[in-house]
This record gives sequence, structure tokens and C-alpha cells, in this order.
Amino acid sequence: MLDAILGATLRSLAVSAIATLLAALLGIPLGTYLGMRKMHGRRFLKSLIYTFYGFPPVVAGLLIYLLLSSAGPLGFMHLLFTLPAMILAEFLLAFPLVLGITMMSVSAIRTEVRDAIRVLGVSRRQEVMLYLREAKNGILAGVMVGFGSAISEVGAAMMVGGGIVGETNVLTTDIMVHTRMGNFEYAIVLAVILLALCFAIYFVLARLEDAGDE
Amino acid sequence: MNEVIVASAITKKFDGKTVLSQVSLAVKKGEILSIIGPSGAGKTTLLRILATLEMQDAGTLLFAGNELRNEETRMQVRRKLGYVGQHAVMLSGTVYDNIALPLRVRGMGGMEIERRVRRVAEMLGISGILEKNARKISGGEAQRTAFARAIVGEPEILFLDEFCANLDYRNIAVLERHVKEFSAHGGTVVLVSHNIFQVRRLAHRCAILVDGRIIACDSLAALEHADNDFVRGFVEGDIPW
Amino acid sequence: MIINLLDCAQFACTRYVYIFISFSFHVQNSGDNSMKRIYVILAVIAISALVASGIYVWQEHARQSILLATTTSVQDSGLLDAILPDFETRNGISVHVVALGTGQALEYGKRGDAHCLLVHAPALENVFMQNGYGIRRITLFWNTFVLIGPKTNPAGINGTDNITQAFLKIWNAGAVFVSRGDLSGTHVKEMEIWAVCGIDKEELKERTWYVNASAGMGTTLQVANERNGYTLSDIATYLRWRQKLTNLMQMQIAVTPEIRNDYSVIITKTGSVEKPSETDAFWNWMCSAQTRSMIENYTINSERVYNVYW
Repeated sequence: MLDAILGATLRSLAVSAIATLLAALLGIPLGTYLGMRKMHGRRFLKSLIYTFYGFPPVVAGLLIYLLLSSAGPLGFMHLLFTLPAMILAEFLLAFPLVLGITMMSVSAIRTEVRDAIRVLGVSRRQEVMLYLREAKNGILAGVMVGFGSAISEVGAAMMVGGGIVGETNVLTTDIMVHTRMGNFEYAIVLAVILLALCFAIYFVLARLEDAGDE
Repeated sequence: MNEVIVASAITKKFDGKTVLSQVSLAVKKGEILSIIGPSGAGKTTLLRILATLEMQDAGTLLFAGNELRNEETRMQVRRKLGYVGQHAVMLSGTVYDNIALPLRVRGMGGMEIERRVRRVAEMLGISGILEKNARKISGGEAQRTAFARAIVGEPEILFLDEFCANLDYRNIAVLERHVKEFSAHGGTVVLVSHNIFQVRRLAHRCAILVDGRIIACDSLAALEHADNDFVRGFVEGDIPW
Repeated sequence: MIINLLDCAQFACTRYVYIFISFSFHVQNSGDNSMKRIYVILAVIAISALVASGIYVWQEHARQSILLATTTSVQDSGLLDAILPDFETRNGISVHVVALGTGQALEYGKRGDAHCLLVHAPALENVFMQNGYGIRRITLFWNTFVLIGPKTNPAGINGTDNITQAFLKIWNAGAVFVSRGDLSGTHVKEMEIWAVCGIDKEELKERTWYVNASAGMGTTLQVANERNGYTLSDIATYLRWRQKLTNLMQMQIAVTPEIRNDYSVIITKTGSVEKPSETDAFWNWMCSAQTRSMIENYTINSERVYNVYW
């Protein structure tokens, strides 16, 4: 049984961590770019991103299932009921959060700070790096929120992963299945492990925070 | 070419309100030019435009005879100037990081950066706080750090906007001394200040800006003997700002 | 699985180290060393992991496995956990089990996402086979639905009643009845019985004593327990939950064909096309006498759950 718990835990961690990393890799640069520009269409874009904050995960799961199903357009890739499919689903949930919060954090940088950076004669790349440093805490918060949404995902993970024991079951899908079967004690153990895992991750991420901000 | 900056017919509007109207100004190399005037006259706006932080709506701006055509030239010009704004903006990192930033941006080597930063910090009396988080220092220390950051890259032009706003007299004396030394070594200074006494101590020439227009621009001595009562009173400190 | 993860991790690590070293030479002294380095590390980790999992998927595809879609009640009964290892050891083919609702399982079969099905909805299965989605079907075993009710038995159901009579008694007594309401096999069977009684679906919905749980079997039983109500259940789930259902007991009724629950194995068209030898092996194994014995002898809390068709 320890094997089973270990497997589910490792899978939870791997899938969510990779999904969040990918969301950060794509979301942070894009969010920074969007946050720096004064755009006329900004309000529309912001509303669009905010809609995806609360995007029902189960809808994301359904969409990806239809995409990856044998009868679907990407069926030939045989990705359904695999870990990469779950990574994709969790990525789609975490990405809007990281993108939106990064965008908000960067656009919230005060004008005086922007001026102080601009007046140094920075190249575009340098400007972006400095903006990132200034918005670091906000961006980190976005990553943490994104990770939270990924690791707590159960509906989409079940739909595209199938919860196949030994292959694609993670802590959340196992908790659901065992609760359904009436194995409450086992489900509680898994729940405690899941919470401990989240706490550990957030503890590490919080240490990266800039301590100097009031 | 004696004129470092030449501004011609600069006009700037914010939300339909005209803040600067047909402002023309020439800054000579090595001089300390002060822009003075009543509150709301547009002094900070003019300084920001001269420092390339703001784009004018109309008029031309020449740096050593060259217009700022694109981002590349703007970047090059900015690397030759230093700017100290009203609020001493501290970026994230230590005091050392803040002062070293202009040099890092230029791709200077670590050893050289260390040498210069320590020298400037020594000059301004902030060597002791180099390792401190820049957001946790006092107002006076922050202002001196901002000043250090502006001069560490050995700029040609220094733009100062109320750079002594919250300082005690000792800090003011230190910074004013450095401004004078900077000018004495061939650097150009454009200064905005509310403090007429500071202006009298530092400036070679004064431009008086009222309601977005320059009503006079001459040496202090000339302004003291101007025909205009307003100008005279201003320069002698009689007129409340 | 763990061994595979280690392979991937090794692979990812070597790549990461190589790229990190070459990147170190390019990192300029722009002052944002730490930020840049963090970014590079993250990028490398993520990309390596992605590549690693891609390789893993490819390997998986190459390894022999088939996908069996079944219902949650079958999965939860634990039958498959008990018998599948035998197949996997004999044939070296792993069976990936996905537990879904009945409708969903058949839909997956239609769409070709499952190679074989183990379901218990004969009417729907017939349509499935007629439309050519499955190429082989065998009804392998059965059990009965059971009527669960409160120990107080307000509807007065006794051992001579059959299920239809029992339902009528519940209707006349206005006793609490909890329905799954989720179009599962059990729910479909429940509606069939009401229909045989001549009771209209809409009229049922209007009755306050009729509770629509919209849930799986376990939850529905719990609701019945809370409300001291009757419900129709599959025997396996009831046996597993029995200890926790302190207010309920199994009603003794006459067994008639109406409450028979037939389980069938179907090989889908996609399964036979994509994995001909594997699905063949699975079919032969399922139909074998040995496997049938295992199914017949499967117990939950020492009670047998399934009866095999020999």
C-alpha cells in the first residue's frame, strides 16, 4: 500500500510541478509584455483573462478529452489517459492565473519606478528584466496560485487521465475514488499528504520572496 | 558646440490642458541652469522632457545637435545623463545594487563596478549602508543613494528635481558641494528647485517658468536688475511661490 | 512505473547539466544574474521533463497494454483488482482500467478510446453491437439488484413480494425512496421497474418522498441511510457499505428476472483493429473456465457477489 501512496504522490507532484513550470515559462514573459504596454484593447484582454481565472476545470477536461480522444483531431498521438494529457489539462488551468497575475503585478509598478529604470538607458531586454525584479513578489504569488489550482485539480485530471491505478492516478483522483468506495480512512491519509505537500511547496516558494517589501 | 541641449518651441498638453507652451531653451556645457517658477508652472514636466522621460507634443529637442530619432539614440543619450527625481526611487536590492545598476546596464565588469561604486559611496558618506536593503534606509540615505546612482556612470548632464526635498541641512550641504564639483569638472546641470536660496547658491543661469511659458532666462546677476518687477522680486525671494 | 521515472530523471539530469554549463558561459554580468539563472534552470527543467515524459509516452505506447472501460460499481467492487493480475502475469499485457458511468463507457467504446468494455446495460449494449461498434460480446456473469430499506420497513415489504409489488407498496405507503438519478445502469433499471408498475415518471418527481440523489451508489446509500429510505442497489456496493449503513437492511424479496443484472464483455472495433493479439488474448482469458471460477468465487466480506454463466 505504501507503494500505491508513493506512486500517487510522485505523480501528483510531477504533473502539477511541470504544468506550473510550463505555465510560468509562457505566462511570465507574456504577462510582463502585456503589463508593460499601454494597449487600447487592454480592458477587453483583461476581462478575457479574468474569465479564464474561474474557468471550470471540468470544462477544460472535457475539451481536452474531445481533443485527444481517438475520434478527435489529436487521437493519433495516443495521448489520452496518459500523464502528459494531465499536464496539459493542469497547464490550461494554471496558465491564465500566472499570466493574469503577472500582468497585474507588472502594470502595478509605479510610474516613478518605471522612470527610474527608463532613464538609465536600458535596452528593451534589460528593461524587461528590471521590471521582473520589481514585480517579483506579485509574480511569485501568481505562480503559487497557479500551482495551487493545478495540484488540487480532480475533475479534469480524472477525465483526461482516467485515474488508472498505477499509471495516471494522483492524490486528488485517489481521494475521490476511495471516498466513493467508502474507504474514508485511506482517503483522509491521502488528503493529509496532499496538504503537507502543498505546504512544503509554498514554504519553499515563499522563501524566494523579496523580504524588503513593506 | 557649446550648447549641450537645445529645446525649441516645446509644447506639451495633458488632458487638453496646455502645460508647456512654446518653450525654448539652450543649456550650455558646464553650466548649472536652474528652472524656477511658481507651483504648477510646468517645471517638472519641462525637466522630464529635457531628460527624455516624456515626449513633447510639438517642438524639437537637440542633444549636441542631434535629434532623438529612435530608441537606439534615445538609449545612447540616456546613458550619458543622470536623473534624480523628487521621490528617491529605490529599486529592489541593496544600496550597492541600486548604485551599481547604471554600470551593470552598460555591461561593465564586476571589479570596475566595485571600484566606482565604493568611490562614489565614499564621496557621499554612504559606504556604511551599502549592504543594507535599499527600501529600509532613511529618507536622507535614500536621496544620497539616488544621487550616487545618478553620478556613478560619470554622466555629461545631470538633471535634478527637488533633489534635496526632505534632507537636513548637513545632507543638503554635502550634495550641493558635489553638484558644484560636478559642474566644475565640466558636467552640465539642469536643476529644478523651490528653494530660491539654493538656486542662488548653485545656479549660473535661471529660467523662470510661469504658466507654461519662459518669461526670463539669464544669469542671476542680470535677473536681479531686470526691468520686470515680478522677475526681480522672484529672484530676490520676495514673491511667495 | 517507478523504474521508468528513474530513467526519465536520469535522462533529464544529464541534459540539464550539459545545457546549464553551456549557458553559464553565456550569462553576462548584467546584474540580474540570479533572476536569469533561475529562469534558465526552470526552463531547462521543464523542457527536460517534457521531453522525458514524451519519451515515456512513446515507450508506453510500444509496451503491450490495452484499455478496459468499465463502470464504477464494477471497479469499486474490487473484482478487477482480484482477477486482472492473473491475466497480466500470464500474458505480459497490462490492462489499464478506466471506471466511468455506463453511458460514458459505451461512448468511449464508440469513440475508440477503449479496447474492451465490461458493462451491464443489455439494452444499450444491443444498440452498440447493432451499430457495429463492437465485434465480440459475451454475457459472462450476473447478480441481482437488491432492495435496501429501513429496518423499520414502513412499506411492509415481505419475502413473497417481487420487486414490482415491493415498489407498488412503497408508492402506496408514500415511504421515502432514494434514486440515483444519474442514468447509470442501476438507475435505468429502477425506472424500468416503475414503468412496469404503471407509475409515471413525472408523477414520481412530484412526490416529496421521492429523493433524487443524483449521485453514485455509495452516496445514494448514505442518503437512504440518513433519510431512513428505500433504494435499489447493486449487491457489491451494498456489501461494501453495509457496516456504515446502520439504519438499513436488505429487503428479502422474490427473485425474478426483472432484477437480474447481466454483465458482458465486449471487444470494441477499435480494440480489434489496433490491438488484435492483445484483445484476442484478453477475450480468451475472460472466457476461460479458470477466470470464470475466479469470478464465481470472488467475495466481499465473505459473501459471494457474482454468478457465472457456464
